[in-house]
Amino acid sequence: MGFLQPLLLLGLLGVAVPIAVHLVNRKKAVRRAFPAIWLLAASKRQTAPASKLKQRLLLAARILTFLALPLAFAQPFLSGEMGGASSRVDRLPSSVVIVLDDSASMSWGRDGSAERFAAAVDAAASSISDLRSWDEVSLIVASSPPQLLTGDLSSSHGTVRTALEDYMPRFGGGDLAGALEQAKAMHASSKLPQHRTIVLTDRTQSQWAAPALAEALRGAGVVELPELVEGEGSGNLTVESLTVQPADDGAAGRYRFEAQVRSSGNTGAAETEVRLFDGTTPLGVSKVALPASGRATAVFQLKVEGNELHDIRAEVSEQVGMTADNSRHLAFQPGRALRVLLVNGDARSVTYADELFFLEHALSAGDGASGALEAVSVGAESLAGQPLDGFDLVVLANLARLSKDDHRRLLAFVQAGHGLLTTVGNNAVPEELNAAFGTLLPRPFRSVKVLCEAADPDANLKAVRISSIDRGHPVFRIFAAPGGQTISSALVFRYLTLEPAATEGAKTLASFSDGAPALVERSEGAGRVAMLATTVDLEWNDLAIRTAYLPLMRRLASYLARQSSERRVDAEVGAEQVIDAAALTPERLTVVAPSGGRSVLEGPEGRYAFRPAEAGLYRVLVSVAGTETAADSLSFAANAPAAESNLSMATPDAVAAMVARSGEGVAGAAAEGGSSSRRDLWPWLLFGALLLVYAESFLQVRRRVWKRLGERLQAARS
Amino acid sequence: MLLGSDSRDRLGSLRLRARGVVEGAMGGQHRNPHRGASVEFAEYKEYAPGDEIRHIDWRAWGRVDRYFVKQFEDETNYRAYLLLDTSGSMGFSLEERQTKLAAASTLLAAISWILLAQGDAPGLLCFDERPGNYLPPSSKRSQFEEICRLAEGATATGRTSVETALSRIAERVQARSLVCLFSDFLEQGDDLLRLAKVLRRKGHEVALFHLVDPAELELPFEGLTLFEGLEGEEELLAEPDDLREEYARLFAAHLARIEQGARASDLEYQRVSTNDDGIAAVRAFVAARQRRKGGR
Repeated sequence: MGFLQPLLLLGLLGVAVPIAVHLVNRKKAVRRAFPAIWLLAASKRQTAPASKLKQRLLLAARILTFLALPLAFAQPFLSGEMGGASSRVDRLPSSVVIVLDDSASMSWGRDGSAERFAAAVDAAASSISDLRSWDEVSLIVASSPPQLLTGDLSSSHGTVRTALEDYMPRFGGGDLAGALEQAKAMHASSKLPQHRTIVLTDRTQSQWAAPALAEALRGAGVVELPELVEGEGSGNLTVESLTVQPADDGAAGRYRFEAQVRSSGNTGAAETEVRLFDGTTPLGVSKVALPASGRATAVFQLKVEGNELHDIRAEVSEQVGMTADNSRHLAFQPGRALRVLLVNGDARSVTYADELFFLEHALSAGDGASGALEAVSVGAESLAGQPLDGFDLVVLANLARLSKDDHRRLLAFVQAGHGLLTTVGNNAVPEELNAAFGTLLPRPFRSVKVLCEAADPDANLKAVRISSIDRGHPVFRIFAAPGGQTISSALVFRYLTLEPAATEGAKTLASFSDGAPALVERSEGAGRVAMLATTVDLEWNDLAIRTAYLPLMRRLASYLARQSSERRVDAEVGAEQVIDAAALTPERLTVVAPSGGRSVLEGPEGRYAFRPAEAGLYRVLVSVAGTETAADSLSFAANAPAAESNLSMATPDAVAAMVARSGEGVAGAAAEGGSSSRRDLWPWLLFGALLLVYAESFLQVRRRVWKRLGERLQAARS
Repeated sequence: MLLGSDSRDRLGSLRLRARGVVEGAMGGQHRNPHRGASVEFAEYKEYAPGDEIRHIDWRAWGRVDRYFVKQFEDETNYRAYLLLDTSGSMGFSLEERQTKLAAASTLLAAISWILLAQGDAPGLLCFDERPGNYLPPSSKRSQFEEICRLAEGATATGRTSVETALSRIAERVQARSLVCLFSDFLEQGDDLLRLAKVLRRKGHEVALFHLVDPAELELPFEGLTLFEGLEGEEELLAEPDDLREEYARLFAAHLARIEQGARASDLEYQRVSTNDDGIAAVRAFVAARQRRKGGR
């Protein structure tokens, strides 16, 4: 036998009350003088047995009442084992938390409809219907972050059902572990004897393989995992990425959009159609050969006029499997010039001998229209007072030293998503550079290697060339085209060698013909740092007067600087996105969702946290001095989480093992029998207590009252 | 004063008449079986030595030359012995009601007033388990005040012994008299009725005034009660609710036994509740006597 409210058993101590009252009453008998006491004594002799019996019955009734009431309030029950679905009637009172997965993978369906989510909703509704009136239930959506739809556990099942029916799924990122942790906290607050957690998920690897899930399952009570779909989905098409670069021909206003499409399962096709849209306006169609369980890239070379913000969307025509990842958005603003800060470490009065002479001209080439670079040059001594806000890239050209404050500012600048390019020259002393630049260098310098002088007649033999490049890299992709080999014609007379130990994340993009790294990059925070192991002027090489110099420098600058704008596409539905508007010092910031919903944000120091709820372009508006203006540079696109596109499911063995590790619970489709049962005793106890109260009242009421009542009844009848 | 002026006025027209012939020391309204010097002629009797010479009818001697003595229907005053029970049980009362002793005192004062008003001689004997204060019968003017003073000064204490009181009266009373006994008659046994019968056989009139408090009839108490006797009985712990029915039955039987015994012994019986108006009870008693006299 068990008790639902065992603490109330303390009320059994109250049994002392009637006994004490009984004893005290005997002592507190009223003293009365009475003349005919011998008649009373004679009466008592006659009535003593009946009176004693009545007193004992009264005491017994009171004691039993005081025993029955606390026992009933403690809600005793007899537990046992019941098998089969019929156990519903006698199931232990339970706190039931339904965890509903509405991650993007739940949008999977054979015909584009969200079959999995619909099945999950049906299963949740069925589970609610199976509850008994005293079961408490709550509903948590395993979004990122988990969302409690119905408040605390409640026996108002209709409220939960209504919340379930009204809920619009986000199909963004999921946090099953977080939702289970919430479920555990809710169970902990419940006083009911059994805790059940019904997890309605498709059990994809992305969720089920999360390390935190095993820990979250521990202590979540009986975990039920109804089967939502039979087997894994037959396949899925995913637009994995959508990127934009200047077009290969370098023409102003022309861009190259690349949409990478991936096939899962057997959904590949010889001609998979990928469409590109600007908002709802079709821009183009590309057909790619997509092998089963393979990838293909659809390329669109387009001219985009103006400098407005565009919602570029790539979409596979065939809506297969998970719908949320069949398209991908990109926030694209073509007209915005990238601003480059050039820091001159070796300024010269002779113009062409200046360290930045060639680089400035290379970056400033063109008509200043769309896609242009805006270069601003400052001396090394001016760096300390130079604000970095508004720049996308900083080039440190032949700097001999760097103050700690500048190092801190530049590191924050890069980590915020901007670019930094370091070039060397005669000022370079490796040890000093390493000490001053530290993490701003992809790899530490080792020494200066001098091969020959520029005027050396044997320079062609002694000098090295840039012979090895990563032709798939955005910077060097153009050199894969005919004529691209001209980059190898440049002679390098002197360069800085790097430490042989590979730095984590450092990637060599180009090497000299002797194998030494020429151009190395590494990600730092949200930005990138790169270094060129030689000069950007003619001191250590003649690259500056080669045809490859201009495209190389421009693409390298664009690549490094674009990082700050490209990062916008990384926003995922359901994941928190931090909008850094500190440079704009807005009074408030408004985010306009793709569906038109506006969110006014507040945040400390100009940093605003926002969690996209749907896929598409989010436009950001800032209010400065009472005027609201579009902040296109802060606008971003949100897409379905890439991890959700992996629809492969956890194996039944893995699921069973994880549930088993949780210590308790029933895995699989609906609790398959074996659940404990219960026989409630408290209604009978309450009924008994009621009868005892009646009996006590009957015994307690004076005979005179009964007599008068009888007389009145008799009078009424007559 | 036990009897106020209002009560005296209400009793003014009453005349307590003896049912039988009583002997008295002074002439009154009651017939005397003894022939005597009275104004009302009864018969002639030839003179015999010892007769009062002054009663010789000289006119008859002149006519027949023989001595005849006139005999008259003589009238006598009425001796009444009022016996007041002052035992502890007579001190019982509930709430605002008067005690049985007070009620009995009122009754005996009313009867004394009536007797004195008609020239009779009431006396008083207070008793508990022993005879107490005693006031011999007298028709003097101050007798009423004396009776009232003694009755008012009586306190209800001690046990009851009606038999003792009756025995004492039986010893003292020579002429036929009226004996009024005021008590609650809570004694067990039949000694009371036995002695009363003896008095009655001697020619005395015996009237029993049975004082009853309503609480004795109803036992109107609630809750566990420790009953204490008023005459030294043992305490009794009981639930009145449990006893009420049986007690009422026993008490009614007790009352019936006293009343039936009194009737059977030709005793006058008047039950008086402490709730009742004492004067009305006396009037009822007198009326009952007159009815009985008329019926005889």
